[in-house]
Amino acid sequence: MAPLERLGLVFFLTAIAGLFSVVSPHFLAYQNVVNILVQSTPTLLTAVGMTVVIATAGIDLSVGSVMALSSILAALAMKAQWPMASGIAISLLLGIAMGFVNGLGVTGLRVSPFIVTLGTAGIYRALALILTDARPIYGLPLGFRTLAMGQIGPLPLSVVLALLTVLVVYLITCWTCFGAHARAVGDNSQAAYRMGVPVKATLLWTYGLSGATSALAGLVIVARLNTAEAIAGLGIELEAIAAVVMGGTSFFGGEARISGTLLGALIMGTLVNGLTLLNVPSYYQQLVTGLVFILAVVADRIRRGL
Amino acid sequence: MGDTLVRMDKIAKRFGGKLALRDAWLELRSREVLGVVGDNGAGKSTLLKVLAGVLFADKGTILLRGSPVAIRSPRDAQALGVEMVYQDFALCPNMTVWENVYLGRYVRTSIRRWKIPFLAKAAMRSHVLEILHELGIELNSVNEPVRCLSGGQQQAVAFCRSLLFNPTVLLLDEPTASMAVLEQEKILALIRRFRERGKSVVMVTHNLNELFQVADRALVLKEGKTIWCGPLQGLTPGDLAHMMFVGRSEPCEHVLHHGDVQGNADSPD
Repeated sequence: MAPLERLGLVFFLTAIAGLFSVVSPHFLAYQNVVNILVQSTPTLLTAVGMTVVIATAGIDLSVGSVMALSSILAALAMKAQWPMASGIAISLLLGIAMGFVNGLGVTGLRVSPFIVTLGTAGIYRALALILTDARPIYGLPLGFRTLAMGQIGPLPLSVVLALLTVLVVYLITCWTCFGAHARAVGDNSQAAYRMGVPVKATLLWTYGLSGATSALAGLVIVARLNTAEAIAGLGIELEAIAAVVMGGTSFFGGEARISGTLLGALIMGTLVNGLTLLNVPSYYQQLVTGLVFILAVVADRIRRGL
Repeated sequence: MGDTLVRMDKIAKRFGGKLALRDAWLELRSREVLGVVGDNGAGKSTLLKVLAGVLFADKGTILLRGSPVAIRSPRDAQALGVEMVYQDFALCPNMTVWENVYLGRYVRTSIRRWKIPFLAKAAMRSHVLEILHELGIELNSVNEPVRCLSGGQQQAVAFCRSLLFNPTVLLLDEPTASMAVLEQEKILALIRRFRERGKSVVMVTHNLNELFQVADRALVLKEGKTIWCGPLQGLTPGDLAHMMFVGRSEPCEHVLHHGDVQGNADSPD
């Protein structure tokens, strides 16, 4: 990503942080900063996978539903005395599998990603509701909850995990064939195909990656709330997509700006946190998210001179 | 000019209700430039794309050095040493020069003892620079996105890419269309150099004068059929144009050398 744009995002983040810290004395308190990071974690995780999907000129509207269904199955497994590791593995594998289903829909049915993932979002969410009878699952093993309560140095474990995921996905997009292929598919899929890029496999794994990061986001939320519920991650796709677009990754595909997504997710988290500190009712938060999203898309269009 | 390198026989390709190719054949010899001409919609690009593996023919056979080959994907064609430069260059505008040149064939490396492969960016960049230098093409940087390049420079990137793995057959779809005259000259010189290096070139073109400047033989397609293939010596652009638009009125002696496919060539539309 262009250093200037990244600087712009950093400036924007600093500006809103500065504004909030003037208005609310608690804003810059250590505990609140950690809160912002923790609260941004699910958005950040889904947004990172979403960045690669958008780089292929696609979209994944099912991230929230994947979070719910994968974490519910993991919670059910752990409640049935399965070891914690297998619960985590189940959730991640299910996330990848649900992503593959999305990818198969996009490549096999030749339906637009928007339609496919809108449909699977409904299906996955319904499965989660059916499985749990819409009742939350409480009381997960203590070991699992260290995912939320554990600390590494000054940072919560979940935040460190999210940052590591960001780093890994960054390395994937910049330094692997898969990452280059994903960008090529989004940039000019016909050219990619003509040059021997395995277009379908690339798309399949891209949606699989998005499923995996969504499943991870689901685990983080379940550990934090000590509850798995079918309505987890409702509406998170809006925040994730907003973070990605704000970060400078274009809807037109061909670019994956992971560092921008990181900043975008932090900006979203900071906005929501600041509004909460100012006692703005939570109903208004989605309104702000929606506005920021549209502004980010318009800004992207203006920047590209379209 | 040598023996037959590629032979495509009885190629048919349907797009929905439209037959793009119905009885096309092609014979490419080693060390030659074969020009493919025909009216709009005659199936020139389609025939090339079948050989490049982008399109899969409904019927027909492809022989490479006498043995049948299955070309079901661009990768198959690449593996057989067949490369194509597309009319639209098939570039990814947001990706850099080197990323485009190596697209689909990135070279990987890994740190010693670590088994995780990653892109060998430095090696690829320097190799791209080498090829560009060899082609006499000046670019500011191979790290620039290709959308920042001029049309001629973009075509240079496409050419550079086709030469990356030392192909035996080079397919060019309208290589000089949308080029300034000066750049046309450069490209024709490049094509001659390929032939000198022992490569075979198939070139689709609309420009008959240019064809006579560079090609050894020509192939005429009309409504999805090959109606003539032979040396250009002794012919004028007018003769070719007549065949393209009117069709062949009399059997041409060159076709008689073609053996078993003669029947296809002679059957009237």
